[in-house]
Amino acid sequence: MEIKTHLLILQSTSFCNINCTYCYLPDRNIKSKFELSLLPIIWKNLRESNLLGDKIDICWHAGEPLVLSASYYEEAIKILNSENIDNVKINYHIQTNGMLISNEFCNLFKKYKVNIGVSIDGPEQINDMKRVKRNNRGSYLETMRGILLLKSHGIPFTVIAVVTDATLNHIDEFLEFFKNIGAAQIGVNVEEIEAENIKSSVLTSSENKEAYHHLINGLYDLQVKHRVGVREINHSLQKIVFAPDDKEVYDSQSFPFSIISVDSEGNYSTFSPELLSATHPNYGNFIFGNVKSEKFIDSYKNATFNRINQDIQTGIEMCKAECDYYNVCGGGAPSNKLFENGTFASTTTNYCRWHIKELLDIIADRLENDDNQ
Amino acid sequence: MESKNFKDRLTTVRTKVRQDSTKLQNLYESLVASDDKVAKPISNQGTVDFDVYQWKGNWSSFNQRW
Repeated sequence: MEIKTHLLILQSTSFCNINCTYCYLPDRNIKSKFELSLLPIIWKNLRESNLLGDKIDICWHAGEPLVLSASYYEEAIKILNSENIDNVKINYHIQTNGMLISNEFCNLFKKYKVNIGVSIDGPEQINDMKRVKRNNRGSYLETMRGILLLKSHGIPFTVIAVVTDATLNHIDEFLEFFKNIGAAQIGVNVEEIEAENIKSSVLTSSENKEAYHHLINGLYDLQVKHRVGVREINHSLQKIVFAPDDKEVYDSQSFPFSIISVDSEGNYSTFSPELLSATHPNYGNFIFGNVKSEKFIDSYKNATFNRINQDIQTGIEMCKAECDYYNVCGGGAPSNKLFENGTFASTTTNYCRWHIKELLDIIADRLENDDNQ
Repeated sequence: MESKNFKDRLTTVRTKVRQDSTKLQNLYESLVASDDKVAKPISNQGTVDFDVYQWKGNWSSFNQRW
């Protein structure tokens, strides 16, 4: 299979203006800034590494992008567009907490059709349990102000909500909130054990199972009955019902350079984006080079890279051999395997027990047993 | 509890749903309402006809968190 880069994650800054309790980013207090002069180098690197396909998603993420100015992103987009002599279809994305959205940003989003993802965990009493500022006050009101501004400009947006124990204690309020928020799609991330975040308030307690089932059933109803798109339900329905039977399954996090993440200093990583700023006793860090001096493809000369790649492929083969859900999942996220099992060369994690296997079982139940859907 | 044999279950559920045109149509409409990347039905009647359905979904997206 020939791999092309389908997602380029750029960390315009590692700094974040808030301090969520579950955040896995270690450098969120550091006010770094990605130099725009790196963008032509990155594009040339993609071309010379034969990683450019027909289209690419470029996403500013891994810090709060909007602490930099709208003019910074306009300049970045102009540079990337001018470098794109290859006529690759570029889709721009920004994942933000929404607090700093301004009219100036909205004009930029409209002008360049930037896809906006807003991180919000639900209504105020849920969101503000974990998504807090450095003074420990909640971020809800400022995020909602940003969302209302997007809506007043007619800018579509998606949301990502992290599911924590706070969610499971208020599931009906959570579902009602997202039913009415007006997002094009909701993505639900169960709090993971990852890098800086060494404990999940959801995945480690079997007492949460009943509430989790209630949540997934509610999300299924949001999508199927109320036409509110839910990423996890959407992807599951596509794979259970609509995908061809003989389609080979894979996960892009498992293949080198299908996803590339570049930090604010020009260091690059691949596989799971969460690895960019992570370290681990068994592997060290996951920086495979710097775009200023190395091509992406040069990583294959790097012994650590090859060891990590080999372990990830071993883990995928193990999943393929022993897991009944492999034909839908494709082998899971390497970052979950690493931070839960201590090695990429492993299989089941709590994350996949809950957010893949339980999820798929619940959806299969609904598909089998619901008469009116 | 996870299924003992999800592979077989997947086949059973898939077959059952695909034979129910009303259910299939409703599920399909719930997809396109939120995801413009999903393939449009290509039957002349504008309905989902699984025999001629061309799936354009993305296999690589199941473990997406961003």
